[in-house]
Amino acid sequence: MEGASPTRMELRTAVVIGASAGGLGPLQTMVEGIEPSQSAAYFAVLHTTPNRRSNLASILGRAGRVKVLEARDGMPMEGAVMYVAAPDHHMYIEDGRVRSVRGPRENRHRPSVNVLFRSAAQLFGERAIGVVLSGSLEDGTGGLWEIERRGGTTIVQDPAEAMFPYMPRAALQNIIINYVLPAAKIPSVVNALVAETEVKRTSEQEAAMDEFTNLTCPECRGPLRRLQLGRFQELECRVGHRYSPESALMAYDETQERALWAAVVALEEGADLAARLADTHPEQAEQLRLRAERRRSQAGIIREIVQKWNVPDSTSSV
Amino acid sequence: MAVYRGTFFVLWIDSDPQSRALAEVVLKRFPSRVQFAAVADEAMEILATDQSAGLLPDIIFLSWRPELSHFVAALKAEFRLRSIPLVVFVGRPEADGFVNEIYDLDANAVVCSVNGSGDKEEALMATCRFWFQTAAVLHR
Repeated sequence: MEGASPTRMELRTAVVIGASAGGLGPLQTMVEGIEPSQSAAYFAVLHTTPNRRSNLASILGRAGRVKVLEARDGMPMEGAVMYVAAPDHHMYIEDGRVRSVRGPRENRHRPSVNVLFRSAAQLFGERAIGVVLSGSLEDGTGGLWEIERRGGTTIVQDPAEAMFPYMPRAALQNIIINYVLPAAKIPSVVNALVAETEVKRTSEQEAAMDEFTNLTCPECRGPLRRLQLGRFQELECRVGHRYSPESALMAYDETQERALWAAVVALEEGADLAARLADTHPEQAEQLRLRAERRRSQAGIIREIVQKWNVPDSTSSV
Repeated sequence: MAVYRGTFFVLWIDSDPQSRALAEVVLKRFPSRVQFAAVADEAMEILATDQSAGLLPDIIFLSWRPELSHFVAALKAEFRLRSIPLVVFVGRPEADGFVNEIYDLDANAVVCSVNGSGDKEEALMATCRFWFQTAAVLHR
């Protein structure tokens, strides 16, 4: 993925922006203030639901002067253009091209902010500028860490202004952020950074440390490795599903609920079968009815557990 | 930072900047966070993003324009979105049955606009007070 390409020679800078809940407004504000430069390519990931057509490219296209395109796999990366991730597809950059693929979800999201940010950090190093706007949970922190590690610039929307401050706050708590700004002030900083011809060379920091855990991936059940990204941790499985601690907890909550409902189905089916057999096997009828009753009672207990399950919503730790 | 579950998440759809500014003033008096959309595709994009994060709005306010009927139909056709209360502001209804037509789209309330800016603010306050305090949409 690393190494110069003809396109990269002309494009000095990648500006990568990530947003989630509450992020469309600040993203529009940013696009409004961006002065498109031929020496920079711009990329935006806004979390969204799959199985829908997104109008994000046309919405952002109306907001400012930068040309906005929805990413298609393999399209060439051009200066003064903003690429936005398509629903249910990760967007990243590789060898002067934009990639749009259905890779493993990260932080339960596809598209994921981290996937884009890591690729920009690897390809553009100190000329990568990462911006995290409003959103819940922690997508973006791992990606910003990679940008910081390779000497790029890290920017977050001021959490006091963000509708959902958790994404910028998580980044602030875990990595060195160069600029904390209201959305309206971010474009002028980005424009100035893009215009800079010289960048301060910083030595690359250590890569992520990793170790295997005794946990399995809530999505595919593969073993999970713990990645230490500075002060921040992520979990990654063999397939590439990747989780921040908070998103892993949420994914486990979903898995637990599915498992409990499966137990209810198994117990209730067992009870139905035992009750039916009791009608046709009079010699064991009493024992079978007792078994059916016990299974129904056990299923009832599990139903109650699921119904009273108190899953904290994703804003509760904000 | 405060825990948000005492906060109303509001989606306000209005193309008029002055009306949006007034809405912002009124909503500041309630524990709320608002996202504004000028047009239907922005509103749909906001809903899709919020849905992916599991943070759908507690209520949607919409300033009526005929082209928004498609948005309302799409909103009410989607299982996870249809239960969000939808309050529609209309100008003075000129044609008979105009308000009924909007109710036929499954709006939860239709509020007719008033003229003076002071009256407008008062009407907005009353509407918000009803939905946030009396109907308590947060606990739907």
